[in-house]
Order: sequence, then C-alpha cells, then structure tokens
Amino acid sequence: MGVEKNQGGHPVNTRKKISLVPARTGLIKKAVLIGVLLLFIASLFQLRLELTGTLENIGKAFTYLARMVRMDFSIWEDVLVAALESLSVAVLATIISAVPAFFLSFFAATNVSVKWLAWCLKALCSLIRAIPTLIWALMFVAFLGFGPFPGVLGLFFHSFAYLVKAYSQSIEEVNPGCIEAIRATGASWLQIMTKGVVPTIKTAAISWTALRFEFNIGQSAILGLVGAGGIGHVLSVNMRFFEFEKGGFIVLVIFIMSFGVEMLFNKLKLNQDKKLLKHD
Amino acid sequence: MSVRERIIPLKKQRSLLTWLGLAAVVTATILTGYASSFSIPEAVLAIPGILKFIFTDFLPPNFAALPQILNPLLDTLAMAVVSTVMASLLSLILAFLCAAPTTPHPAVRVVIRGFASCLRNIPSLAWVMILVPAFGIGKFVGVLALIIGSLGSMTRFFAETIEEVDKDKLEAIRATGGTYWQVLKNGVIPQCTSGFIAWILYNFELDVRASAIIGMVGGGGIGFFIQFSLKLFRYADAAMGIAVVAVVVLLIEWASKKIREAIL
Repeated sequence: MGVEKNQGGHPVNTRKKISLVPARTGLIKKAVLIGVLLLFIASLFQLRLELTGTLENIGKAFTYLARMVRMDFSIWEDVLVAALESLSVAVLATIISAVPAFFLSFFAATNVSVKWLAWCLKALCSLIRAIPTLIWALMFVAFLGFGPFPGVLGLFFHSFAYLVKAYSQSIEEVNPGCIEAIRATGASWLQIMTKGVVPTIKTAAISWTALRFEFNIGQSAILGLVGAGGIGHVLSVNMRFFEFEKGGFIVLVIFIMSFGVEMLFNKLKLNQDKKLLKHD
Repeated sequence: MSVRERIIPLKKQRSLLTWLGLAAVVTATILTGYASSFSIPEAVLAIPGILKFIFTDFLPPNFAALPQILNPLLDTLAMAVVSTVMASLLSLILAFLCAAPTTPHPAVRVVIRGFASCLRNIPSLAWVMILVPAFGIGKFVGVLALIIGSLGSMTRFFAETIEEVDKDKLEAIRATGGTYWQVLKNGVIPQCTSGFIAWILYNFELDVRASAIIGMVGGGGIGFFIQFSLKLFRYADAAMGIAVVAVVVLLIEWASKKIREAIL
C-alpha cells in the first residue's frame, strides 16, 4: 500500500501529506503561540483582577450608558467654550512645534547634515518621544499650575520630537541625484536646501503635520483629566458628580471633534491622491 | 501662448497661496494663543524657570524608589499584554466580518465599521472616565478601557490588511470549488499573518504608553505612581518613574522594530 504507480509507471506517494510550509516555521509558530499564552496567563496573575461583582457592575455600566445616551444639552455654552479651548490648544501646539521642528529636521537628516549632529538630535528626540504626552502635561501642571498653558507646553514637547523625526525621515528619502545635481551647479548648502530639498518634501511635510494635528486633537481632549484645561476637564467634573446625561453630551462633542478631523484629513488626502493621478 | 507666459500666472498663483497659507497660520497662532491664554513671549520667559525646575527638583532621579516602582511597572506591562491579546482576538473576528473580501453582508460591514469608529474616536482616558462610575477605580477599569480603545483601532488595521490581499488568489481557490471557510483558511489568512503580527506589535507599543498614563486617572500601574509622587512633591521619585517609562517604551519600540523587520 501507500506507493502506487501512475500511468507513466512512476511511483506516487498517496499516503503521506507533504506540508507546504517548512517544518521549522510550524515549530516557531507553535513556540510563539505558547509563549504569548504563557505571557498572557502570567499577566493575569500579576494583575489579580477582582472579578467578584463584575456582573452586577456590568449591569450598572449599562444603566449609566443608557443615561449617557439621553444627553443633556443644557450646559452647551460651557462645553462649547471648553471644546474651543481644546481645539486652540491643539492648533497652537501643532504650529509652535511644527515651525522649529521643520528647521531642526535639516540638521537631523543624515544625508544633508553632519553624521554626529544628526545622530545626537535623533537620540534626543527619541528620548522626548518615549515620555508620553500626558506625562509631559502632568509635569508642567505640577510646575505652572492648572490651565491650558501647561497643556500647550505638554503637547509641544512630544509633537516637536515626533515632527523632527518625521520631517528628517522625509528629507532622507530625497533622491540623492537631485541634491547632487544642484550641488554640481555650485549651489551652497542653503540653496540646495531651499531649491532642492524643500520643494521635494513639502507635500510629505504637510501630511505629517496633518497627521500630528489629528493626534494632538485627541490628546488635547484628554489633557483636562490631568488638570490641563479644555473639554476633558468638563468631562472629568461631570462624571465625578454622576452627571451622566451631561457626560454623554460631552463625549459626543469629543467624538465629533476627533471624527471631524479624521474625515477632513481623509478628504484632503484623497484630493492629494487625485491630483497625483491627474499629473500622471 | 509661450511657456513663459503660461508660467507667470502659475507662479503668481503659487506665491499668493503661500502668502495666504502663512497669513492663516499667523492668524491661527494669535487667535488660539488668545483662546488658550498662551503667549509665546511668556513661554520663552518661563523657560529658565522650567529648566531650573527640571534640573534642581527632578534631576537626579531617586534610584532608591526603584523597588517601589517595580510592581506598578509590572502592572502596567501586564495591562498592556492582557488588553492586546484580548483586543487582537476580538478584533480579528470583527475585521473578518467587516473587510470587503470576507464580509458576509455589506450591511454588517457598515455597522461594524461605524462601531469601530465610535470606539476609536473616544480616547481611552475618556473611556476610563466613563467606566469608573460603574466599576470603581482600579486595574480592571484600566484593562477594559485599553481593550475598548485597541478594539477600535485594531479592527480598522486588520480590516485594511485583509482588504489588501491578492484577490486573484482567492478567486483561484474559489474556482477549485473552495468553500467560504477554505478561502479564508488557505487564501486570506496566510497572506495576512505577517501584517497582523506587525499591527499587533504596533498596538502593543501604543498600549504600553496608554496603560502608563491610564494610571493617572485611576487605572493603577506606573501612571498612578507618577501622579501620586507629583502630588506629594516627591519630584525625584516621579522623575525615576518617568525615566523607567521612557526606558521601557524605548526597549519595546526597539524589540518590536527588530521583530517586524524579521517577519516582513
């Protein structure tokens, strides 16, 4: 059994299935799965989650959610002011971080800057980025007191470091031939940057900034939870006093802000794509 | 019309656009600066004070606080692991239901997309605020909020990965008489695995950051430690906590980058 002969008289193995993936891949897959499972169980043990009364709490959560859905619009004036404050914080933080980041990114790009300087700047930016925005905000709240001012500063640091990295990456992707060609005409460093690099990275830089703005909007909405003003503060106060109807309205406003910006930029990106298609 | 004649109005238009853009940015800066009571001169003047604050109060970090930090740190990491695993499993199901090539019905697709977008566009910290009244302060709320937030974004990431698969391969399996499940198992999943893993790792990175800050509004973990130390003016302890967060985030970023490079 097992080995039969086909029409040409060649032996054909009918029993043994031949695996299409190498045996080693299967082994690695199993090892990874078991590893993740073990990590998951260990994490559950570490957390020692208190599950008694969870069912009851889920019931409570649904009653509260039901109350949140019946929104109370009576505080719309306060909410509007707070939402505008959050929006301003996001816009301002994006602008004041994008402008210096743009200039600094030329020194952080390895292809147009000195190697050691680029390396140092990049390391510094990674360090700043490794500390979450909200921790920056918390530090400034501790130093400057409550209000939107520490919020702007908190957003500023993280945005700045992020944008330096993003812009300098775009600069590094500039075709070296383009830079070489301008250099060959005897152009100075500044001329190469303004005539060769800036026009090439303009579109990429704008979309990076837009992406960051989207992120900053989301962050500015929650800054209030650590005392940095804006709509998060209003949400925090209302939820603390079990004003769910008002809380629901505020959550809706946060959603609209975040969703609106996402839609706006999706459309912008779409337009950009269409333009690119036309040029081709 | 010569080329030169055609270029001149184009150039004029472009410079006008640049000026308009610049004017818009300047106006926005002034208006938003006014609205958030932020003035750039004031901020510049505050720099020496901030530097002094960082270098005298925060630095050097208090290394003696490390043993105290270890347990909250493990909590933070565990929260990220649990939420990433749970959210990956759940969003895998949702993603298959809402990606164009695998959806059972277009209506299901629209509903799930909308649901994911709702979850995604409310920040995890706001979820904490929403859930705390029902579940009380603690790690449970933190994990729940992280799962909800990750679910929203991962469903979208996974669905996008599934939508990028090579449709011809699915067609080929269908042509051999493959059922829906066979198409899924032999056509879609093998093409998506590496993409899924990359997204899961990315989400884990985000979850570590998010779980570090969720502690600040009552989710436990290292965020709580930092908030607590700052409130008690123990700045050197807080600085140690922040330094630990930075190191852990950098390590995880580095590791996940290496893994992604290896599998993609």
